[in-house]
Amino acid sequence: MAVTEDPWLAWNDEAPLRAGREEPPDRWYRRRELHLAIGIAVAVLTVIFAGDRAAAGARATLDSRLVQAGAGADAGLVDIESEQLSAVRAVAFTQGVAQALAAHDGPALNRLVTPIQANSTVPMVDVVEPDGKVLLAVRAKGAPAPVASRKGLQALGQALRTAHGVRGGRLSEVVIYRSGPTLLTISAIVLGNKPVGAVLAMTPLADVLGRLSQEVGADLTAYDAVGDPIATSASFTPKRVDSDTAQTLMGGGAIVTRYVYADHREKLGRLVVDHQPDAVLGASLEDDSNVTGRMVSIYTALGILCTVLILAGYWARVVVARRRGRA
Amino acid sequence: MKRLAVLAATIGALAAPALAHAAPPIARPNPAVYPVVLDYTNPLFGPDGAPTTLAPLGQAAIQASTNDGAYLTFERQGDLGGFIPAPLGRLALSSGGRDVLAPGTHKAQIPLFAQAAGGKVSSFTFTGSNPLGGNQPPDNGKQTVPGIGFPVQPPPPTGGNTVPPANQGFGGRPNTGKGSGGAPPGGTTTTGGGNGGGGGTTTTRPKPPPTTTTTTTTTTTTTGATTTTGTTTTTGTTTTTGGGGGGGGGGCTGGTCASGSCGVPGLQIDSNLPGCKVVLSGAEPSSSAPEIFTITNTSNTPYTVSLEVVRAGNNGPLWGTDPNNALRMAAWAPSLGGPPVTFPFLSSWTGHFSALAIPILNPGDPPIQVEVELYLPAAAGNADQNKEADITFKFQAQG
Repeated sequence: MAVTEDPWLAWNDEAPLRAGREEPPDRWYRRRELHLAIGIAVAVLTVIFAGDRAAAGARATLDSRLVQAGAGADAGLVDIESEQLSAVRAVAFTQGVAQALAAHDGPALNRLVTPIQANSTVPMVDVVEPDGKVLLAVRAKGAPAPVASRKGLQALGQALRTAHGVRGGRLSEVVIYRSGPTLLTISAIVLGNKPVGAVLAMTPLADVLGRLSQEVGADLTAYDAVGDPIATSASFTPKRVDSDTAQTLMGGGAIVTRYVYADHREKLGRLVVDHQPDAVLGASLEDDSNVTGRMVSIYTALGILCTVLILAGYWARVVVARRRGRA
Repeated sequence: MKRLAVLAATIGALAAPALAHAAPPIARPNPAVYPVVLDYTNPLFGPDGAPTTLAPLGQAAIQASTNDGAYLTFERQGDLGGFIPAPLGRLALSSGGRDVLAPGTHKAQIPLFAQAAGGKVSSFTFTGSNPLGGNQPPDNGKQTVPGIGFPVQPPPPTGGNTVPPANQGFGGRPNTGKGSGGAPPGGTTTTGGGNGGGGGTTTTRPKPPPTTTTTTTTTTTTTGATTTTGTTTTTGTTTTTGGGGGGGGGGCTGGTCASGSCGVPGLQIDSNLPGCKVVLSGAEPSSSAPEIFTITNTSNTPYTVSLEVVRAGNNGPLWGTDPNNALRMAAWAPSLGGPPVTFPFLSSWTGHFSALAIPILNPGDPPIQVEVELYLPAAAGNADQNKEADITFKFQAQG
């Protein structure tokens, strides 16, 4: 038995022709065109599937990040709520504030309250009388201008009604003023046993979202209970949320995913203030998963092409060597 | 030589744990200290443990505070630890947000009284008569806002330092009550789970109300006789099938009740949940499922509002396998106080109407919100866990 380093040289792929018999026609499944078509189809499907899988993986990572950003925003909101709560407590429990408020003494209130506001991170503080008249307003630079009356404010009525309750008339909620949506924390001010007014610590909701957006690294948008966008940290204008979706979310529904603008992917949950869902919160980032998928498709196609070229080179070497052997 | 190497390796392996223990311990967060605790109930306590007040802060605090704030601005690219370049010149607390409603700028309605810290802090107060005449409309969150009309009022906070409901919106316990992930209800995507804002709580929220048909019947009693005046069938949007002498769906006002209106003419009852039903699913000990009704008297007659619980689709064991730990329910008006200390058994709400602890609703009275909450006691046994209960409500208005 002959031993050779090139065994293919000894293999004759030409079928032995027997005299008087015709070569049978090739079966359809042995046609080279079919094999070529199947090979191309497999290659194309591989490229497509690889790209889709890569895009799906990148999108899943983005989704996870958005959910974490939303949770982080709600957790960060507790910090801001705590800061405002601390500020209203400091005002309500400072000696002389209740007396000055009862005496309608604005200048005296200014001496007592302004240092507390400046010492806090709260940009807006109002001290109001029970009828809603604003006796003193302190504003950090750039904050919305004060108004003369908060009469009819739901939180004011509740704070005064529950001044003797377990919470001492302190609560927080989102209020949509004419100057814009605002995160409000209020505390009743009591002189003796009588509530003589209330102090309001407020931060524009847009500023709240801007600060939280820096902390969680995602664009944040707040929508009211019927789905209208009210404040955002994004550079684009978000489209509104369907009313039913917004109400379902407010009522405890699961996270909703959508594209809020172009390819900006958004997760919708709730903005929780004082343990209550006060608004719909959206966390969004640009979805570049299609770019990832496209690049993976290109790399896969290049890989398949290179593999084909290598195999083709190997096959050409075999053919050339065999022809040389026959010659 | 080989023996020496084996001996050295053995000694090294035996000494590794001891060496590891000798290393300084890694500091871990103290769970008793680091969480922010929102305390709405306690006053400020003095050193003697009694409630106290603060002495006024000196005026110098204003300048000191603004100076300290200036030091918080980002001054170097690496002030954010190299993760991303810090926005130089901006404060860590500065905003990047904006109002979508574009409310514009407004003039101050109160005269400027004083400025401090170079104008960084401004105080406004009236020192004489109101120069603007005092005729300015109040800005109280109920005025028309460009872009959205009348703002929707958020639900009022509940009383006390209640344990916050699980924040299923982001990262909290999903509504299936079976751990992270959960089946996507209603065609939406649930990717919650983990340790978000609701972590560590034992309260669950109701699953998103399905858009199944819910029937809410309002019965109006006049001069002691009960007359059914209408039946409302809610299927996401209110439609009326008539009944008795009534008809007409619960009119939605302010765009707030597109799918949650449960009322009929005379008594408008809007729910924060579509379908006017409440569902407790995946029940665990201490699970709760709240629903808030906003009730408005739209008639010309004062009404006392009563409530009856009607069993809906699921009549499972939560309704009373264990008489001591069966499902409980309470209804209260948050604006009038917190929830009762002890929740009555759910079964006590069935079979008859129970008057709600709210004032008589007079014509023209502002809407009053009533919170209804299902609650599974903490001592509920295994037989009552991971079950589901859904109920609907019948309201009665007695004139």
